[in-house]
Amino acid sequence: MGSDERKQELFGKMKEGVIEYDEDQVVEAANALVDEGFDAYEGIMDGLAAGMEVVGELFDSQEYFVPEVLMCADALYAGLDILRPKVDMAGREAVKGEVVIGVVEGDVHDIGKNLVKMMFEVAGFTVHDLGADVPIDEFVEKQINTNSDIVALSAMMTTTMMGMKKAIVKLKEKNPDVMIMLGGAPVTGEIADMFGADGYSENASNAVSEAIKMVAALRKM
Amino acid sequence: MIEELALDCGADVLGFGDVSEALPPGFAHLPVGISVGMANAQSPGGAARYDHRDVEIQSALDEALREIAAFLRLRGYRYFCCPAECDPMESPFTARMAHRFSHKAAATCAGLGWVGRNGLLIHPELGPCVSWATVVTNAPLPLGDPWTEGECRGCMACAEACPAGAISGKGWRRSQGMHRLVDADRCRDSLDTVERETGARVCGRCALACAAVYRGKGAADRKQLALNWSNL
Repeated sequence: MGSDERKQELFGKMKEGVIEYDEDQVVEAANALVDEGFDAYEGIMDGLAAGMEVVGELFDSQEYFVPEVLMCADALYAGLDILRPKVDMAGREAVKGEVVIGVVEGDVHDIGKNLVKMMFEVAGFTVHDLGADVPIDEFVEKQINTNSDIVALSAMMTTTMMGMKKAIVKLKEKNPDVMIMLGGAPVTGEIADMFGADGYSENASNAVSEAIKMVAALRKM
Repeated sequence: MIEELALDCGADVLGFGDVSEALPPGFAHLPVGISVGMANAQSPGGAARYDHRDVEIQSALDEALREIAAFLRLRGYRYFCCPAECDPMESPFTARMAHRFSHKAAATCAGLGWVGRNGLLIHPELGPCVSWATVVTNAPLPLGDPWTEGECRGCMACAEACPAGAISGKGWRRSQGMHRLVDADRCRDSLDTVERETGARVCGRCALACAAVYRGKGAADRKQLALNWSNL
């Protein structure tokens, strides 16, 4: 079997493993990829992320629901754990950008945030994760300290949503060029618009499919 | 079969239940709960404290879940594994969801036990010192008869043993939820005190007092359990 054929076979196995949420298959293929000296970055993009792209389609067509996506994400993560340390950064363009991400103060729901975070990482961003229940000033401070391009705010509860508006005002005040993404169950496009955000995801699962689409776009770059 | 897979991994109890009323949003297509329980062998006689977190039991339960998952996948069914307590860093997504999913609810739905006055799942033979994990699936499995009310009868051992006075003594009813059983704030404050004094966040007196009631229910009940399995 030719080397390229073998490489495609392993990519296919990783992709299928992510789609079928078969963590063992992903791990096996990722290890083989590393052992046989193939490029880890390609494996992440054309194997793992390609699989997650299909998961996004299955989610959009309501073939998959939140539980399947979460298990797919775990399978992807297992592969990422193996491949990420092997990525040869020297030969690559510098990272795509930096992101500050967190769940705003008063909220501890962070599954959606973690999914978006992972997709940012897969796409080659440097992610500064502030965790959950984060005071607004911390977002502002972190953005300034890291000069991040994007600030992604998440809130799952209506009560904490209002905190987002304050955050956006403060962030834009300090740095008008920063791009702000909103996510979380209570956020609608109208609200995001009203608050002056640049992008939004309707809920945690849509945030997933939005993030997946973003990765798809990045793969084509 | 599923029961054999679980038993081979060291599970002590297994049951199937209709969990549709206990599912978080987005899980409605997986209405069947497979509840796997493993008795904590260390449920100690005479110990002052009881820590329900046992690494060996958790990894055995995880193994049982993996086996069950592989079984379901092979047959084309959907599933979601809700692991026993685990490190969220290890499996960042499913583990987070596991905290929103109640193993206790799944076990009561499968008819494996009821919720005691102490808020713990009480297995009729093994008592409260059992660790649980759950798989939810769309596979058609023979569903158990759910438990909808506590069977603690007159026993108030846990309420009397609680150093915080956090246990109200009320009996569990599925229709009324679990919040009225244990005053979570008092329990947490008491744990804070224990942690300050001993360095370990471990109490478990309600479990120990309850376990004492079940201790000694040995061989005969195991036999009954084996009979229950064979009916699946």
